[in-house]
Amino acid sequence: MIYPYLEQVPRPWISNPKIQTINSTRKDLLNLRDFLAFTGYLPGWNMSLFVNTGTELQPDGIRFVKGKEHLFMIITWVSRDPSLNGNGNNYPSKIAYFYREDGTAATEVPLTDKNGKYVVTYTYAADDTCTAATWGTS
Amino acid sequence: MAYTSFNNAGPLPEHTVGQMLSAIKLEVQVIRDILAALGYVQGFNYSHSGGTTKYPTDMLYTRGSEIIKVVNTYITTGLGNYVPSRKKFYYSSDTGSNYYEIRDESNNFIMDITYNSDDTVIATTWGAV
Repeated sequence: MIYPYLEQVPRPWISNPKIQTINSTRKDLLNLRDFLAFTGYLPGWNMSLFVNTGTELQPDGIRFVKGKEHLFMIITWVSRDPSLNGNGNNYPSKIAYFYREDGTAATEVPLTDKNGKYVVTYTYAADDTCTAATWGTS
Repeated sequence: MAYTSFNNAGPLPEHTVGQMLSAIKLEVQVIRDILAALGYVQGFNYSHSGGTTKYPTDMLYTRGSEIIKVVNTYITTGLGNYVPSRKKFYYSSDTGSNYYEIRDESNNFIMDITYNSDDTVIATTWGAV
């Protein structure tokens, strides 16, 4: 499966068959649906935490499940050390987004855009202000 | 009127172009309504009723005759914090005379929020009642 990223083309003003245009629009719609599900507010998408090396306050990931479909984010933290302050310590440094069509690893795909970007990296100032969020491929 | 849920299965190839466009239009409205419930769609003005300004019972997002309503229930946690424990989502097209649940195909329109002993949100679960 190729993740249905938001596409630039085709669009209605391009002379593509109507069905192709509708399919493209629908892929874009599903992409919007998925990122809306990550807010926790899309009906039916239940949220729970992955806690492995982390804690419930600083989890390793967050998953949203509806039926067989899984959406989840894997979170890397600058640190999880309460004794450290500033420079983003105890804040996320990276979040990677994934989708599993039937909930199994076999159907796992990253939620890429058309350039293959699905990981957002955060940078922080000394006072923990987030100074940048940059999307990339790793 | 029944609220139209987001439908993963459609539109289907055997549908006419008109049916496909109608299905897509309805799904766009589902996404719009949820974004409006978060305060992120332009033109939907926020007000509240019941509760307090900080802890409103009904959060209303209104544009013309359309209203998106979020009904909140709160709990006091073991640490003494007053936090939302349940949110219900509704849509009205007639200035609030009738409200319909913004639901999925399983009638889920109520979100319950679970906290741990530190008051960290650890789960949200959708239901129909």
